[in-house]
Amino acid sequence: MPLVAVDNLTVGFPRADGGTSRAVTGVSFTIEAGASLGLVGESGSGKSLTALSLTGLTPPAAVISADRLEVDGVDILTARESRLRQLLRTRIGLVFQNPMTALNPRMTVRAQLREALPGRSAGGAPVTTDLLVEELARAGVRDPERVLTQYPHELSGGLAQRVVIALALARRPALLIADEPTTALDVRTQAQILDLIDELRDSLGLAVLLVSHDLAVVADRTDDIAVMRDGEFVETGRTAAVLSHPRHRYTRDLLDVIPRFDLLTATDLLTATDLLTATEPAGQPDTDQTRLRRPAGFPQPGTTARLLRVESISKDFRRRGLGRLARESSVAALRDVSFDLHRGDSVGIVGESGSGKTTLARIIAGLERPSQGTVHGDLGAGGPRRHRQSRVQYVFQDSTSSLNPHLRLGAIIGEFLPDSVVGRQAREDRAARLLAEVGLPAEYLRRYPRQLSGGQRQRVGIARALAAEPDLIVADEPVSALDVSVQATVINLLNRLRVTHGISYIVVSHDIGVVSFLCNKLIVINHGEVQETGPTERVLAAPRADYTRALLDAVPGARLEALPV
Amino acid sequence: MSVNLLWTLSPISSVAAKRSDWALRAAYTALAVVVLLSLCAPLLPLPSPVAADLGSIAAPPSASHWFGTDDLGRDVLSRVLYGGRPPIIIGAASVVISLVIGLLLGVVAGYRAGLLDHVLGRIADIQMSIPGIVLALVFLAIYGTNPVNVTAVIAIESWPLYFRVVRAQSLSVKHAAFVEAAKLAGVRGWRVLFRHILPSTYSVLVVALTINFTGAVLSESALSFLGVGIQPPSPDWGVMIAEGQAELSTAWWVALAPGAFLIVLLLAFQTIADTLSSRYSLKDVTLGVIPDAAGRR
Repeated sequence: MPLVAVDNLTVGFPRADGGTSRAVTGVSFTIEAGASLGLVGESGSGKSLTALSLTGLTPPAAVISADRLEVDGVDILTARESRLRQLLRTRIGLVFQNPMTALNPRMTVRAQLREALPGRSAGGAPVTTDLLVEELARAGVRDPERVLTQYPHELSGGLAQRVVIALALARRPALLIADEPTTALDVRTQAQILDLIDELRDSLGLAVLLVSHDLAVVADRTDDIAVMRDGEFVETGRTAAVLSHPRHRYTRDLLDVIPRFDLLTATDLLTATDLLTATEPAGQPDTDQTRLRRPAGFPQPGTTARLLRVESISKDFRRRGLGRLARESSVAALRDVSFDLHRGDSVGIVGESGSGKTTLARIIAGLERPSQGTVHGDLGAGGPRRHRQSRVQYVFQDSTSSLNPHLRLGAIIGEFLPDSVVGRQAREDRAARLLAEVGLPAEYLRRYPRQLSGGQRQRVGIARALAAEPDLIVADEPVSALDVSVQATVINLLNRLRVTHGISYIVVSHDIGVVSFLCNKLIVINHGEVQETGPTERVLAAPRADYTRALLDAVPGARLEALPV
Repeated sequence: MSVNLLWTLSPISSVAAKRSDWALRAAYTALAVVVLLSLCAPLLPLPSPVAADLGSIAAPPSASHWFGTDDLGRDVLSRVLYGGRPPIIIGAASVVISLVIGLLLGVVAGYRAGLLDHVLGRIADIQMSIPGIVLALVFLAIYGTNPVNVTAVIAIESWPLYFRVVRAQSLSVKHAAFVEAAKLAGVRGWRVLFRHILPSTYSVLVVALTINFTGAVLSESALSFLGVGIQPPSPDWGVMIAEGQAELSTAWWVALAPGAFLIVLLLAFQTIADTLSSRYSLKDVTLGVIPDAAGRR
């Protein structure tokens, strides 16, 4: 008998008009003891709800029906509350995306781990420090004695997620449900956590249900895979078989739009024009909704004028305690960073969180001042303020907070148009043309940001930056908040606009795949220091710095790489 | 402002929302009835609220006097409807005045920060540390009792509320990405303030306003009750409750009618305030959503 048996599972939510909106429709799967299943899908595909249905922890409003919904022989739909609780306590371990919200901020790790362990009445061993240390060590915590005494806020994201895993495994469950367990983590930490889950699977005979938006992660780590879309399984099977011979169009599209840096050198990508099926609610036919395209149209190195010179920039952030007598300490976010940017170039700044990459981008855009060093170049420095500002524009990571919710798109874009465009009609025409360039209809000028999808909002952010007719656009994680399919269209859009407008880019990202598809030069940065700079192809193919190598090794998708293109 | 109101009132679907919809509709109806009847009192076929009829003193409710008469034979219904005008008008006027003061000072203090913020903040602190009723008694004793002074003293009492709320909101929006974007577009200081920061405070302002209005109405009634607000024989709920208090055992209707109207008005407004505040706080979260390290939401 399989550990998990789900047959024809449907989850719906009552709508205001009396009907139900289905979030999951007719899903069936099984997980054998010790096996692993990966659930892949974009946001809103119902993957998390499917996983939660196994635990009985779905939102109270959810209406669940299934021909069969059993975990370890317990029927989730009919089981009594106490039976469900016992199942959760002893047989299922849960790990969610954000470890900080999974841990109680007011309790030490020791207190939380004690709570998770079975008491003596439940047949557990007496809880000793040795036992607690052992539990943490099993989850790969390197200094368990110290960690036991700490509070969650004292832990790094990766360490906190290890503690969460230790809590989840404390009662030796048979099934571990991991819902985006590494999405909030840096790529190297992600690799370590996923390795840990793999090891525990082997040593404890755990069954794992891994839920992720990231096909590369699931491809590397699971035996079986289920691809979800709009609440349905579009394709299931052995992971290797599904990835090498995807039968469904959607799976193929998903594989096509992952920005895999190892594909940069594959030439036939350039000719592929597989149209993605509609990915945006109010989507319209769009030339960018194709396979990811290799960036092109860069000038020959050394043939264009220098646009910008960043000269030994350092930035310290002062950390001040309470009161005047408290010691002042400063944290160096950037140390002695220098590079040149030539007209038409696209420079990618890659690093993990806390590396100082965003600070660098903000300094270049003039949003922050460096503690030392200068940014100078042919950006009209010394001219009137308005003139200087408009030569560099910024595309923000979070398209929601970067657009004023109280203004219509027409006003948002209009604000960025240069003064040289005179007259209401002329300004409106220009704004409409900019919207058209990013693939949005002119009617959208009357809309508010909230009426747009995330991908559309990011397009508006790009149109707004273009409106100022800049020489340089600094983009901070321009696609990391978007689903992969939308992400690919925005990458293609950015590449197209760079060529047609003759602008330069500085792209900041934690995702090497993304920058490799946007940039011809890379700067790898760690702890505020530049580790390596060079042409994209060279850095990817023959990294010189150890850090770059470690970063590239940690990128998931090893199994994808083995696939034919 | 109405546009923004509509935006934030977009539907939230749940059973709780339906229940509050029902309460909200009742509150709006009650509010409209009380306010309209009071403001339109001169247009209604009512006896004069000050005309004494010594022939029917302290008469209980009847067909000719629906709410009875008081100890001077004045029609209580007429006095109640006319008597709603001072609390409503003075309440609204003082809310508007304190709102304008608090809004302007708050948005500037939050945006500019620094010394100006400190000075304004301490003034607001001092203001809030003085009990409103004490301030009012002193102020009215010195400057005399009339509707304008009553309005002024209530406004002085409540501007720190708006100041605090608006300051906090503009402080938090000041560093929002869309404000930074506006600066990159070359938008100048005052324009950033009025176009980008001010509108974001509307939602919290509406909540503060509804809460403040109930307080202002209550203050006016309390001052009139104590004899330093509206002066008899002018009809006013506070005055009427004070007059009726003495004969509660013999002519209970004299104090009950204005008391009931006051409670209905305050309850209705409070219900609206509660609903608005829960809805606005739900909606406003979207402004502050920051994706985590990897940028996923």
